[in-house]
Amino acid sequence: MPSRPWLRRTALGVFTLCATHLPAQTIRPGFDLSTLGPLDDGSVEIATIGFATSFFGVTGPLFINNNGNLTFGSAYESFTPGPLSSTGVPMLAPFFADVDTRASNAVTYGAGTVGTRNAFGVNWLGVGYFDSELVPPGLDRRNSFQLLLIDRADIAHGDFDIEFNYSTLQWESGNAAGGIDGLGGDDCARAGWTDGSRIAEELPGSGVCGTLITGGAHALDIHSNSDEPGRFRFAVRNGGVVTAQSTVPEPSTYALMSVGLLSLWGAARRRATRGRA
Amino acid sequence: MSRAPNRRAAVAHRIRGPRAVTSLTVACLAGASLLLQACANDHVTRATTANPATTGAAALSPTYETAASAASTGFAFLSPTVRVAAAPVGTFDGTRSPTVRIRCVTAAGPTCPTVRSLVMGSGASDIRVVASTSEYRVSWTSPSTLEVGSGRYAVDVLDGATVLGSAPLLATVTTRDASAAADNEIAVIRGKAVVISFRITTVPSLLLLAGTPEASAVEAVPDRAAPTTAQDFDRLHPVLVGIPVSFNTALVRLRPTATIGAVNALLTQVEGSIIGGMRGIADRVPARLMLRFPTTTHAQLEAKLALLRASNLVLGAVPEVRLQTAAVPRSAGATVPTGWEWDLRPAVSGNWALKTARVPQLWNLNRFTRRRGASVLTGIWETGIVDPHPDLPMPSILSAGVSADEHAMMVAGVLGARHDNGGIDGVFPFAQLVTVGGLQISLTASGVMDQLRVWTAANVPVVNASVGFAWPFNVVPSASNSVALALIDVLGSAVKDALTRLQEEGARLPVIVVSAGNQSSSSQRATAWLAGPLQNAATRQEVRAIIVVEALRRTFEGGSRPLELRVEPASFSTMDGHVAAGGEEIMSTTAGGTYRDGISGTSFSAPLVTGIVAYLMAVHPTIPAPTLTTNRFRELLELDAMPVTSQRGVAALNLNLPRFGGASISV
Repeated sequence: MPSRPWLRRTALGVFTLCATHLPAQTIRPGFDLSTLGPLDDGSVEIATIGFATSFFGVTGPLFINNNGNLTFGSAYESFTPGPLSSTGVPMLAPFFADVDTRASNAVTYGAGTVGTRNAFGVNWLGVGYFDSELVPPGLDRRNSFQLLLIDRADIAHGDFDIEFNYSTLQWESGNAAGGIDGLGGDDCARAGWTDGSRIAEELPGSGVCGTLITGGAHALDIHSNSDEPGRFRFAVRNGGVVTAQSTVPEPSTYALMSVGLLSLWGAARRRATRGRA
Repeated sequence: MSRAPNRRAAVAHRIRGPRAVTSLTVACLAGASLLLQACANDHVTRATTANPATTGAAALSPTYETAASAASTGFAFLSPTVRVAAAPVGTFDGTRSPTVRIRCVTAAGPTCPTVRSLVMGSGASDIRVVASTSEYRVSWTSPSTLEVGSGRYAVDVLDGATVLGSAPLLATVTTRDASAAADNEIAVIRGKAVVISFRITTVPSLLLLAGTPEASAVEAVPDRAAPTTAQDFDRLHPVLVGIPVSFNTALVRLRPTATIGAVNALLTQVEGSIIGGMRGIADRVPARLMLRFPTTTHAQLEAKLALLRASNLVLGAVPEVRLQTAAVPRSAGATVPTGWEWDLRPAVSGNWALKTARVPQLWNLNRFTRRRGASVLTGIWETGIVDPHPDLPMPSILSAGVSADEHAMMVAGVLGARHDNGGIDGVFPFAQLVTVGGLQISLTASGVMDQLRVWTAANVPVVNASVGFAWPFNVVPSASNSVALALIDVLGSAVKDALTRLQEEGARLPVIVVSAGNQSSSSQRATAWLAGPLQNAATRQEVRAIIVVEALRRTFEGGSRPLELRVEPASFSTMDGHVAAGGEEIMSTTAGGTYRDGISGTSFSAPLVTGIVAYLMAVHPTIPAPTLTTNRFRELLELDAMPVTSQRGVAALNLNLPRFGGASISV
């Protein structure tokens, strides 16, 4: 049996690349016409974002909640991240944690485009954690992430795509959650989406201290459910999240990969046979 | 007590058959040559028609009496936490304007907030007092310098000079610390806003039956709807999981032989105050009492009900239950159809349900019906009223008070949309729609029973009721839950009591067409007698005036047109109804003069049958009104129905499908 060092090297190379990849610059520019805050907790109601969205039967209004999430129908006042399935309100949560912008950048939001499609975005770029008034100078930690809603009325009225885009994430909990200097504690950040009561998808590592932030086992800034590290995509069709774009290859992809590997193995075997001849 | 499901009702699950209905009509009207000619044409008669005249049936709304004057005032803090309080419980007296005071108990200092007194509606950036629809809320953002551990603080609520309640404030740093607060403490996280909720309740004095102690109790019960609000219900009942059930209001069936003295003694013992009911007939028909208790939890109410059930004066005692309409949840992205689609393409809602039910053949009688001026008062029993719509006859409103209800609009469209005006076509375009208002907050089990009186007083001969228990969609109620079953049986029996008394008093009972419910899942079928009081009355208490309608869905065979359209039970539809009609992917009218496509639910199969019943009444008014034990309309529908072929495997889904076997329906 001929050896296949190329295969081992390639697999190892992919693994190494994933483990050491720097935070991707997935945050899209713009979407910053308006500002929320600076404040600790609090929400702003968005009556219209320029296109229709239907999320588990709720079309609006939308509420941008300072604590790293957006809800449909009513504001969400809690600053302590709990299981998303028990929020009681449909929510998109790129990074649900106790954001406090009184001593950091404020949250910005506004309309824009992604490609040729209309979009609405919320930026949490360089935001701090509670209690910012008590954080000693020099211990500041900042998080940068973004939520985008992208119009897909080309498919059906109310359909839209969701993007969670991440850059550096340096903290995961506020003081009220028992965090110390933005880390650890009782209730760490959560990320995902929910209909508020029954259906929820939390990203791997959600709610587990030390995992979602930069350098963590499931660091959001280098992981993905798409082909772009630091970007998570979801498709909302007919009011529900139909599927996240999986990183697991489709069966057809497996088939193609198998055909390719067999071809390579066949070529190597032919070369070996020729060599012996 | 529970009984086996009504097997007779389960025998004939069929699609109702307008083909045979048409034949029946011909037989009934033999000699009408014009009619016979029309019947010979198997096409839709689309002659221009004037809108059938509509006349109101005013002054028939139920009388709601106010409760007794306040006898005492209670006060309670509500789950004070740093998060938003859970759904409040109990009644709420929003007429009072309390003052909220936050004070330092120990000596004031730099870390102890000064006394803050605020009255309703006042506030600063860090503290605010407001009254919502159900509670008072105080929002206070404590200073970051709030001293934890040594400082002592309190919040007081005052009504004038009277301190209604007071609670110590527990200054903390984290939510975990806050969760350790005692019941009488309100936890405050330093630097965070705390929402302090409280409620002031006005407790009415005990209302008992009036009359001599030895007189009949059931005949002393007032005919009065029980006033309830959404705040009298929550979804935390341990048996009726997910359904809004009251924790302070109950329905009691009184034994017909009970006397006033004995009943009043019992009510005094359990602290039950009469807030409504329906009179019975001494020694023959039980009465329904609606009682209000000073309870705030289901456990507290259950203890009261247990005492009532133990009495030989009582046939049943259950909490009041809120109902809901029976539409399948759907995304709210409304679409406006481009037109009424007569095709059978899978992607188009159109009129497939009418076609499979052969309603267009029934419409061959339209000209005849119009010339006769035949019209029928047709009730639409909903949570709101039907607003004017260009495609609907102007509805009469028995009682005003609520705005248009989208569900009611959609039901009305299936039932009675006008013909020949460019919109959709309803089953019975000559309907005089009658809707009821004022049910927005009282669509309850007892409210349904009270409303029976309204329909009969208005002499409405046929009523559509696409309502039932608010079981979560696609969550199959457990048929092994004997407690729930006993509870629901009491409600069904109370419906029968109400109809019995009305019949005994000479009232003409309406044909009541109800939706079977949407509680089936793709793998398990729910039974109709769990679906609501009316459904239970029809299937368990054998009240024949009520017709329970399941929903069908369409399937297609053949890849190119003409497609063969087949029908099968809709996956969501509750079973054990009497007939079935199309109820998935339907198009109908909705608010604002528009239309909605792709709506589903037994809510929309029921009005199709209601329309056929109304049509039958219009062309043959001599068919007798139903009674508790007879219903010629139901018999005709069942006799003329056609079996439905299911495309699904019997074993795979365990759907009890053999009864669906037989010929398919092709159009």
